[in-house]
Amino acid sequence: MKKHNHYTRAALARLLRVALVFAFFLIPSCTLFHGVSYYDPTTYRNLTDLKPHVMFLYVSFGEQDVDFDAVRYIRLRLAQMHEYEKGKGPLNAETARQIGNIIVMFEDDVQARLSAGMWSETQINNSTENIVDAFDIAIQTERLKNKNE
Amino acid sequence: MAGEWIDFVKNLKDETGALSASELVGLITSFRTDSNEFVRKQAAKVERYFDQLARGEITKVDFERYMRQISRLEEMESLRLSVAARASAQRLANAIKRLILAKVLDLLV
Repeated sequence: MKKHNHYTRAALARLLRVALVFAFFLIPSCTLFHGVSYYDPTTYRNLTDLKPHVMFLYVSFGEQDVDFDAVRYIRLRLAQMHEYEKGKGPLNAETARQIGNIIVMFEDDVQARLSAGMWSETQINNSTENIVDAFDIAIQTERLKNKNE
Repeated sequence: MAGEWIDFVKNLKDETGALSASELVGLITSFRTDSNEFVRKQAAKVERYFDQLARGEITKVDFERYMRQISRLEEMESLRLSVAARASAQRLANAIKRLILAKVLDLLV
């Protein structure tokens, strides 16, 4: 009788193992889950470092002269960040696209400043709020990712 | 001034009839009470931009640019939500692999 119980438990364990292996392979194959890159401290640092540079530049758009050195620096850093994120492959597609969006927003604002002249306080506040929101969404996205432990 | 934008939108002349001012006002107002904080924040911005446009503080070109920016932010928020869902699924898959397949089953046999 004891031996019979042992066989039953062993069979149950085997069944459970098969079910869990099945579940393990089923979860990644469902449409919701096709993997996501792990948290990357370099991405987090890049975003949090560059955000204040952009904020200060936007405040300076209220002045007569445009700080072209700052514009060039931010353009270069954004391009580098975009290449870095794209280089991580399809599992990092969201972050790469987010940085692409930040680049488009930034260029749109720079063009507006160059074509229409000095910004008013209202214009500075509006554009700064939007670009800061964009950086914050990308930063939050990176923080959501799991650590590769 | 709060609510100034509503009068501004309602006074817009649309000869093509494509813009329904009351529909637009209703839509933006409903977004202001949405359960999602992100949606509420963007709706508040749209109201503010209409107010600023009505007061001449921003130009039509500015307004258009801000609308494009909000559209970009919405796309970024969707991408954030996608990552949130997939990161949760990844945590579940990792937990099954690390804890259940590797440890719990050994205890059962």
